[in-house]
Amino acid sequence: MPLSAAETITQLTGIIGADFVIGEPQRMTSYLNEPRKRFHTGAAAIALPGSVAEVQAILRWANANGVGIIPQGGNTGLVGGQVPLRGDEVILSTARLDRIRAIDPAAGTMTAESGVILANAHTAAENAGVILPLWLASQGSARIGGVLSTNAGGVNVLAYGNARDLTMGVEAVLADGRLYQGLNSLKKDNTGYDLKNLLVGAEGTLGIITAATLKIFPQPEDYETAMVSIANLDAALELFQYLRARARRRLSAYEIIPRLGLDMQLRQGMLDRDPTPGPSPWYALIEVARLTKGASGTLMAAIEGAFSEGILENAVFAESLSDRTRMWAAREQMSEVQSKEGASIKHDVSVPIAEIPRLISEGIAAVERLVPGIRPVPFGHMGDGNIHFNFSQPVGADPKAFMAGAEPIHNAIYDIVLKLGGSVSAEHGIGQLKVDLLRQVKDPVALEMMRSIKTALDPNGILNPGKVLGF
Amino acid sequence: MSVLVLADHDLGTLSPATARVVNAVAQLGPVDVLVIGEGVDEVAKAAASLVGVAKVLISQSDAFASAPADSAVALLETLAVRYQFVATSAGSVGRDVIPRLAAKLDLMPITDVVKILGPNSFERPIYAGNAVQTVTSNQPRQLLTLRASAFRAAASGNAAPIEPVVATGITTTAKIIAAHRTESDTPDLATAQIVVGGGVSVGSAEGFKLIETLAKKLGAAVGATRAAVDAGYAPNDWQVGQTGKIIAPDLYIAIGISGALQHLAGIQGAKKIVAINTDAEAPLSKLADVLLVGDLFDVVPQLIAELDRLGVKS
Amino acid sequence: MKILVAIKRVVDHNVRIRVRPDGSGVETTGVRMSMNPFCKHAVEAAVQLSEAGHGDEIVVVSIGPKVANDVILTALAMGAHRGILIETDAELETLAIAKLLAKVVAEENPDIVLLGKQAVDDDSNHVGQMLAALTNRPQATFASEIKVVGQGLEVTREVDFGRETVAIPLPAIVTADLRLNTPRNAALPMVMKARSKPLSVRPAAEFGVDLAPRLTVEKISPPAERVAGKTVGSVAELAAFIANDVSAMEAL
Repeated sequence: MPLSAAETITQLTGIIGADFVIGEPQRMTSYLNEPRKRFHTGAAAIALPGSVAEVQAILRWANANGVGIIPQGGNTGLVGGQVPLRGDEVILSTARLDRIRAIDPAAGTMTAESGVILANAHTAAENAGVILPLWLASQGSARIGGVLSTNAGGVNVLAYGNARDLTMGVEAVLADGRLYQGLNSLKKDNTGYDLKNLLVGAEGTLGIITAATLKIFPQPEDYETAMVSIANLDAALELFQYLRARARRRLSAYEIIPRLGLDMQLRQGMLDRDPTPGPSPWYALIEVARLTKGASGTLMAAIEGAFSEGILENAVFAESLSDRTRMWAAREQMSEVQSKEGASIKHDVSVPIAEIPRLISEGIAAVERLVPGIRPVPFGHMGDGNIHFNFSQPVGADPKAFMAGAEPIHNAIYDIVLKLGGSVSAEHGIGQLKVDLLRQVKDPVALEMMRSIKTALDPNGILNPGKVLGF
Repeated sequence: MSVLVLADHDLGTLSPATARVVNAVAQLGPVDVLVIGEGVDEVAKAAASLVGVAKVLISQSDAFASAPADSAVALLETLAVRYQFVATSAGSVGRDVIPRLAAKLDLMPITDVVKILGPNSFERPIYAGNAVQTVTSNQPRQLLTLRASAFRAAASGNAAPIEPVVATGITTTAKIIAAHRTESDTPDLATAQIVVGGGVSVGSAEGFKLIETLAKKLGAAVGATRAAVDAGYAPNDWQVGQTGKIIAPDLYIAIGISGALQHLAGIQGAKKIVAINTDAEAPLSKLADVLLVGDLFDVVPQLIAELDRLGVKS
Repeated sequence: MKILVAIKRVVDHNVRIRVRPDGSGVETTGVRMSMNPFCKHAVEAAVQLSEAGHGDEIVVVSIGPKVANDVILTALAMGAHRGILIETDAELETLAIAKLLAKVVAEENPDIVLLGKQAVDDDSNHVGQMLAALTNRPQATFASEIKVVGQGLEVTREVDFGRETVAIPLPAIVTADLRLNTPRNAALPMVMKARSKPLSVRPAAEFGVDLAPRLTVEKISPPAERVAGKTVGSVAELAAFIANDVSAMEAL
């Protein structure tokens, strides 16, 4: 007999107290309204546990009563993983688990609870003279637990890897309330299955991460940043390889941006000025870290070399931190500006780096055949082979009619991605948005293995029900 | 030890900044106030009423119209030798005049003083107020500009004598050909007791009318961030920050202001800060004594109504 | 017409500075340095005047250590023609800086000297006015617009009451405010070309100026820290706080 919403609230209140259970619909909206504005289901309640023990207590109760639990961090996910599917679930917000438990620059580790806002973790690292190189557009709101559960990437993957690469150990509460204490900081640990990597990227379907030990790194003394004009994507690829060969691991960002996206930002007043050297179909935002006492001028020398070889058209360098901030804003506002330009259809995909020019040219051609006048704004982490292959509606088109035609556009893009040996979700995850897609494209054996693991760890199906693998 | 204060005035009215400068420097010795300009008799009378003023010197000449720096400096050069201190507020006239006068007299001026530690020792902020410099000087005389907002005003009720100073042979090569004044009936920003400030998220010049309405309700001055001024929502003389006006009100109400370093530099002297912002993580939200998280267009009209209900009147 | 622009290399405006615990100053090692933003507006103004046919030669001068070459290169890339570095490792006072610049003005005899209105490190706002005094030239400080009219300039200044426009004869000194223009970021070909432009390095001692400081900096301290406040949940609570504060002020 499933619990009613009222019973759910009463019983949760008994576990963590009335101050930390939200049941009134109007107070739940900030937990339910997700950034894509696509998923509109309600929830039975929001629970805000204040300790790991309280998380355990909630899961023991939920497991016994068959209550679905949706773990939620900063509610910045783009595939609906952090909001309910049915409406009778409880959202478990990690917001109060916001302590940084330890930071050890000498050992290169930081242990943070899952509710720590990523930007706050950055500040804590900087105050200790180090960096936590997980940098995402949403870092002001995103929380560590969500970042790990979606194995987020961001703009620093090139030099430091994604969330999985930066996680040394996790602590997580299992479906039955038991605590998995895996907070170690061992570089080498060959003692059976890699449970950490099972939980990272599981989108809260196998356990709820309550804390993690993360890698921190010496603070680069400075960065050299440039915005480069590139004639086409083949040249962008060539320039990436050219720079990678010269700056190697110090090449910390290589992001491509189409002119159209900058024009949108300038039109919407999101940039105080054009951060580029002038009109060009494509730009690369490039950053090279300078380590303490390292020589400066690496990026400038490499860019001049590439210029004299005709690989790039023009470049400007950040001459101050405000220049650097503006260049990064131009990259990080790419997604946000689309919501100001009407409806948009988005894909977070990856392919082998060498296939990016083909992915984009074939993708644009296919989609323009479907919807004449559509505005393609592919951008992102070229250095990781990860493109946010987004499309804005034609100017003046009806947003609803445009979105109604999303399916063929998705199919066209995913067909090309799969043909090129790519992935249909590079860094945003599966959530509820891509469950059907995953079923269609994932290797059946891989899917069976995932289902077996899910059944073993969450036999009652209470953890983030319906996400990733479906019901 | 005697002090000469150059009075600030505009449109025939003594600036409230001068009363603060007079009060601040009275500890250094008897204070004479110099009023220069055209048609400034009323300004001189107002200066003579300030407690702590020994006498007022008035010098009238069309060369001083709005006090171009070179004519003011020419007069001050001859007067300064009689004083140990020459001081004025760190407003646009003081900033223009004092360094020029200092170089003429081969002196290092000490500007933007926020604390007088003794006759030779002063505190002044550097790095946009993120550090404070303590300097001492062994020069024969000190040329100072003071941040008026950092000091309390002298009381009035005095009747110091007013003496004319002849300004013959003072000429200027610079000529003022136009003045663009901001029409506003709100108090002087640099010395106001309450300031209501708006940021770029106010969104338009019309939006700033809402900020002004609240300011009027409280008898407050209106301030703006550099971004809001750059966007054309507010006039340039409302700008508060490292490059605009420095304020130190008893209460600063910051509306939709995230708190760029540049802006924070201008409000560090505020005794209490109230912030209204959608972003609880914004630098100014974290700095505020009281924060309300919310949309300014919802909150401000409600706040005005609520202040009405509580009977707050300017 | 010849234009001289004086520029300063400072701790980048957006660096969150740290005061050394021993009170000896602000930490500048391992910190990003840039051209003072106001100076950049001055360089841009010179380049725009030149592009409008009012400047045949733009000379850029900076005073500082060897590494200050980098801001001169930035100015040369923006369009200045020639650079002078007056080299010194000492932290000079504004009066000494103005005296050195007065020597350069005597040598170069420019029609217009452009400077930033203040440097964002010491926030002094002195040098332009001092240089005007030492060279007996008229000054137009805090400029938000510069127009060449006949044999002189019409400069709109940012002042306490708004803006005012002054007419001054040449030669003159003008200091730049932020709304004067939007400084360009030099593109790659200009950056590469800048390195072949003349840049002379001259020791400060060569100018025969008394550089000894007049003031003693006793200490540099951090500002008083604000304590964190509270968040209120409703407009009514906020209004009550404000009303309370206002009546407390009236009671004074």
